[in-house]
Amino acid sequence: MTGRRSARAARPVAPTQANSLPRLLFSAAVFLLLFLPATLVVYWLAPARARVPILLVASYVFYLSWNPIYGLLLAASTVLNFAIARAIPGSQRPKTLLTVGVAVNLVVLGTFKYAGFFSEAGADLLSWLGIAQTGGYDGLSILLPLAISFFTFEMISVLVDVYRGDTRVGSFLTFATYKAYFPKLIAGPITRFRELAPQLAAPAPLSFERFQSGLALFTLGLAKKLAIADNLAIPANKAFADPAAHSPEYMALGVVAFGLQIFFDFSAYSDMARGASRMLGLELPVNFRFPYASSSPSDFWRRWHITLSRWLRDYVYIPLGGNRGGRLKTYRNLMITMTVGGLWHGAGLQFLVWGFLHGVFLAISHALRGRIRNPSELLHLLGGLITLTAVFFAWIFFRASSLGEALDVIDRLADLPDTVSAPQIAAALAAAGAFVLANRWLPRLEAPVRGLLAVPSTRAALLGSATAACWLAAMALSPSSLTPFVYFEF
Amino acid sequence: MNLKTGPQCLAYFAVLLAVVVAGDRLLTQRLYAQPDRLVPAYRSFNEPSVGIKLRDLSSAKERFDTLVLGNSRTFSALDPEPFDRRLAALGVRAESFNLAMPTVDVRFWPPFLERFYDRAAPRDVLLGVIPRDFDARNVVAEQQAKAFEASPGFANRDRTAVWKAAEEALAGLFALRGRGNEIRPRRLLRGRKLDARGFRLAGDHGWGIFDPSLVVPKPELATKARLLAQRSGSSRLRVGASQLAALARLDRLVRARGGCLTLFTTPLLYDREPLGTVEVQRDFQRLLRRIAREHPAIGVVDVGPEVQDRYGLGDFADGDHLSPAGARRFSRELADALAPRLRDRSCGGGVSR
Repeated sequence: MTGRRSARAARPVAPTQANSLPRLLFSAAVFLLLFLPATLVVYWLAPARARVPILLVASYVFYLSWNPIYGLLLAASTVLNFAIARAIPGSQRPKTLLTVGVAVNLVVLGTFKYAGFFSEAGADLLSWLGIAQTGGYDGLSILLPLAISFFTFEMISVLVDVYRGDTRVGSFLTFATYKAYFPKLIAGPITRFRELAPQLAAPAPLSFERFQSGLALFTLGLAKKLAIADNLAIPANKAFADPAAHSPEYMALGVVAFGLQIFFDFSAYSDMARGASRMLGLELPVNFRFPYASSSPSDFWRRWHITLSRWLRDYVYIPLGGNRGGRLKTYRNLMITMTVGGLWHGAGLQFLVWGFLHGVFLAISHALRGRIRNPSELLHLLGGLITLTAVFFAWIFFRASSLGEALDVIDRLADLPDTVSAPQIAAALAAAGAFVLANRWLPRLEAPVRGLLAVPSTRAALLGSATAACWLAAMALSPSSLTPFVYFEF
Repeated sequence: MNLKTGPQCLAYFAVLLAVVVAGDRLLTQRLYAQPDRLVPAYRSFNEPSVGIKLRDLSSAKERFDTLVLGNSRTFSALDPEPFDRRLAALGVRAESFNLAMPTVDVRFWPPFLERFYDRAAPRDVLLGVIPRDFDARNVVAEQQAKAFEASPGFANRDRTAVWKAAEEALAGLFALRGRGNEIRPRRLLRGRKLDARGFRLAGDHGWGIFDPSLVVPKPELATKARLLAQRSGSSRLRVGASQLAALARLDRLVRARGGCLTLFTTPLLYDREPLGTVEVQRDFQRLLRRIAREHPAIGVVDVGPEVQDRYGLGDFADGDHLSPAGARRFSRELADALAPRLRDRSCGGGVSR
């Protein structure tokens, strides 16, 4: 199968083309100035027992704005998973129920997300074996429901946690609201039932401090998305649109731009999700913690998309045996886990390669970890540079629309030694070193900032002016077009 | 809910919003040349002036019966106001809108009219043409068409009127939104205001004038005219089949809606593009005659050398775009040339000057 052809199967049919409603994108005016304020006002003015139903309705309005037909799938999946999760504890055969539940979720995900990829691969195989002539077959084309990857993983985690006895599913309303909860519905953080359900059952009272910090976090995300990520998307899109048309230097710039874009874009979404949720009195888990300050691939995955990492650890890596079966089995488990993680992002060979590469990076990182004791700051810096290079290299596969396109980009980058002079390489290395250093120092600012915010008199002024400044920066520096979040594709 | 905390939170939100809107207003008024000509992000296009133009068109109450299409030359050349006034003086009632967009060629318009234009069909369509529009090597126009179709304004064309109005009203609060790409620090340091490069809409009927920074000073214009006008070269017009097919499709489309298609050319001081040679101009005029022959329903008004010679340096903003004075003059003269056809309601009529 060629890379170009796999791309067609990998990219789902655009889900939002025919919709005449405004999509409730976090950065769109309708969301910012109508949906969110209206939800907040109604939510907080309503009596306490009406708040969860209000959240459920708001979440469905939010989801249906993307495509009304998706709502049916969301509702059906909710009912089915609720029934299984309720049945497991009292069942004679809980394992069978769990297996059925997980299988149904995976079949639904597979049908919508991977049918095109596998049907095309199957057709290619039949053609190759000479059993059928399927030349030009592009695979099944099925409308990909938004957020299906995220809510499928959440549902699997609920079923497994119920089976393990870690959690119990009570009211249907709480369960349905957990599943559809709009701040985290589309692109996470992947939240566990036991993290959100108790908060939904007994929402924290409204506090001004919490509301203020929620709004600040939300606008920080808005600024990261509109002022930074969307501007970085311009060179990245241009570079990846036609690698052969650009110089190797421009391609390198495009790859770096994408590496930064995806961080600012995805962490912006997480900030906005957590901020909006905090304004509603509900805390969502942290998803990013200075990932580009990592000194090793293992460190990177403890800081990047944290909720996915822990999902993969708890529901794939540990059930596979984790690090309990010796070194080789640990490496195998790491590679399987990360390849699953890659495939979760999209049906395409390029995602498979991306995940596999990270599996290899983690295996190498594990192998080296035992050999280096008490690493110096310089070694941390070197580790950071190597990790950053590996992560940015892997982003090529993540961003490309096919494996072939990723190889085209790498092909173009391979010409760099011929076109770049030694001083330019030194300057690039110095810039990368400075970037890693800056990232390693940034977390140290957290404590003093927290100290300042702990003083009530400065807190209001600081948070208020920071929020206004972020909002203004978002408006002033955003490019003219509204770009959806990168993770909306998954 | 704590009765004190709820209003406190809402008041905080409202105050912050007010501060941000005030800051937004202050910055736009201070920094931008056209602070209120906002194109909301949901309906923005690859060219800011096109976004403004399409918004003006969609919000206009008039029923435009004459639609002017073409590229940047037409954008700057036809001012609907003197054009309509002159026609009225000649006994023809017309309400025209200049819909020309930079860089596009004839292939852009049939899909645009079929997939985007949702107003009542125009009675007459006037298409400004230049040699590049028919040249097979013109890839820039294709890229421009793709960029147009990829922009949010095109993607959001099916939104319901209510939601469009809601988005418009809400987006109107933030005039700064989406204007980040107009920021030019050097311009600001010189104390000048920011604006989208290219065209500035004048009036609300689609006519645009050049950004003052792009206007070529008269002495330079004279020098360039001496060097570049009437120059010979080896390049020839290579007529593209897709362009001719698009023209035929546009003609059918306009006639199916009960209208007539007329091509027209605009005055030229010099054309610095590779296709700006006298040989290409001659090829182009031959092509126009061929079009008139092969498509009897398409009229052609060609600005010949005798008309062109009457235009002086003051009529041009650069070599091939008219200044406001030149545009007003040209609009009146085009109205003179078209009035008999429009009055008779007859399509075609061959090539006229």
